[in-house]
Amino acid sequence: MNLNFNKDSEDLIHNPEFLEWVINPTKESDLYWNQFISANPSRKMEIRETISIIKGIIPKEKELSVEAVNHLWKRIEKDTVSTKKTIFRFSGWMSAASLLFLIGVGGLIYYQLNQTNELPINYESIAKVNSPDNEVKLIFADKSEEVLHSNNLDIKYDSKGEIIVNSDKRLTQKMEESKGEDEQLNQLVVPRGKRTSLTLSDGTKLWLNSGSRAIFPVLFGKVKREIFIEGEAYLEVAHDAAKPFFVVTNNFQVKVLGTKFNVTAYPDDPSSSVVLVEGSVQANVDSKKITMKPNQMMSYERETGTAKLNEADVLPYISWKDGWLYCEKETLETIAAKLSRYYNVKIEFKDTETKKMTLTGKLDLKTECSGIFNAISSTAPISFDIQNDVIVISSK
Amino acid sequence: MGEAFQLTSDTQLWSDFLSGSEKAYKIIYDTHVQSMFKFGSHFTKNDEIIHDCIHDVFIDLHKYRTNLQTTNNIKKYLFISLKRKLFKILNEEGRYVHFDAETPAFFYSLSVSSETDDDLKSRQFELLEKAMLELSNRQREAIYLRFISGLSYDELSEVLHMNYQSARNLIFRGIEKLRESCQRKSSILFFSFVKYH
Repeated sequence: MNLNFNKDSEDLIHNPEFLEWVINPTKESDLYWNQFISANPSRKMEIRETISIIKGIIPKEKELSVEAVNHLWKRIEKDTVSTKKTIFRFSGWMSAASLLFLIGVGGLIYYQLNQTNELPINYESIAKVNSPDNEVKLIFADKSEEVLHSNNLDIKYDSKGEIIVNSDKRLTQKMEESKGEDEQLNQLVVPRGKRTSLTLSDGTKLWLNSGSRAIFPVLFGKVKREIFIEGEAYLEVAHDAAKPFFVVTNNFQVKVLGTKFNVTAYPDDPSSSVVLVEGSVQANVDSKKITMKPNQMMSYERETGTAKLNEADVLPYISWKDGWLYCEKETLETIAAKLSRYYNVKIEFKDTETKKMTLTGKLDLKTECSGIFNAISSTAPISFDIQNDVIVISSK
Repeated sequence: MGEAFQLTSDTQLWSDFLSGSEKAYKIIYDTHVQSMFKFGSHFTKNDEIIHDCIHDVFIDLHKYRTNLQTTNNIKKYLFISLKRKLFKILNEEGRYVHFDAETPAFFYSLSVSSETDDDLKSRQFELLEKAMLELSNRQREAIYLRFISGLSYDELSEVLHMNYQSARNLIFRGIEKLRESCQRKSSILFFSFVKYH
């Protein structure tokens, strides 16, 4: 290397190689610059000063903790995994047919369909029509109503759109002539304390839980099948590869070709969720498309407008259909909210500590309400008191 | 030599990522998240904002991966994206009454090394820290990118949105100024600052 420097006049900080040596010394550059210093003793001071400055400007910086790095990655992963397959793949959906999954959703406001040129249906205005009642109600396209008195109703629409109630009673309705078949919307309203099963004209079956409603066409159109759910419902969607099935809620819609699933959509719950048991579904939240795998739960917080995807044990979310309430470390407050809807009772807590107690186990919803609270109070340190239709829970 | 290796590996990693490798995506994150956070922390004291911006940078990266160009320096690319996100939010949030995207504040306090317990060294430290404050924000940022982040002049000039020569001058003048400030006050201070290199 050339030690005959014309660097005499040049300040070394203008020399990129010098700076490179200070930052990343190598054996080679060490040798070179040490030789340089020996050959130019007059510049020793300058060199030392420059080195010490550069070495001295190490900033005081915060670091991300390992937890923070992992947490941030989880956030990123969650938001990218969901956008990975944004293209709707037909073959993928066909193979997902007749699988089982479960969905929970919430609330009821405007909804915008982005798939076709059709105008989105304003479900809100339809759902607003009636106020809550104590009996199951079927509201027809012409807004006439049929009140059905039974605790466990079974309603079936056949392929012609005729209605059969509890396999014997037949109902017919006047169609609105100005509208096409698939625009004749019916609405099933299930009040608190009641449950109903409903079979749609394509063979899709729904179980509607207490305090729920479904809005659906008497007959489906040619391009797609779409229904609206508020509250909670378990669905077994009939397979039809040519007509994808959409479950619409205020927060998101779920797209599927043919499978079984459960929907929950209570406007008074702060969050709504989709839990997938088997197969694959796509939840569309705002502009995001979240493709779910089995044993995953997509939950949506209404307050913050955020959706997240987590692993989940599906059983607690689907057991209500068979009359069981599974609790896995659930707070008494959450359990009370479910029981309150299921039995149509008011439940109050005397103190907040009791609310935060957690329970694990299963409750038989086929027993009477007081039986349930007997069961809870025999395991948890609580007592309950029935005062004028209100159940008051306090700690023992 | 080291740079040539860096060049191939970054180019390769990036092209793997562009062609859809989730593994490459994760490697990019793991490799750069710490330096991104540190770089970001010079613009704002609000960690949450930096987290959010890093998140957004990676989301965009994933979302637009099919349209991204090749790069031979991922860090540079990430720093540019992060800065853009940060400035947008800081601007919107009005965290600073006079937040100026052209010459944003670049906080810089020095790390007290474990050896600064003796008097002389702590005085040196104080001097240097004071001298750093006398530099412009741009100078501090340029010096940081060059000496701490290890970007080349080419790369850092892109992060700074200026041409190569201006970026170089910025650093030279910065170091010069630091040296002057320190010399002016005491010429012996740096003598024992570092052990022989």
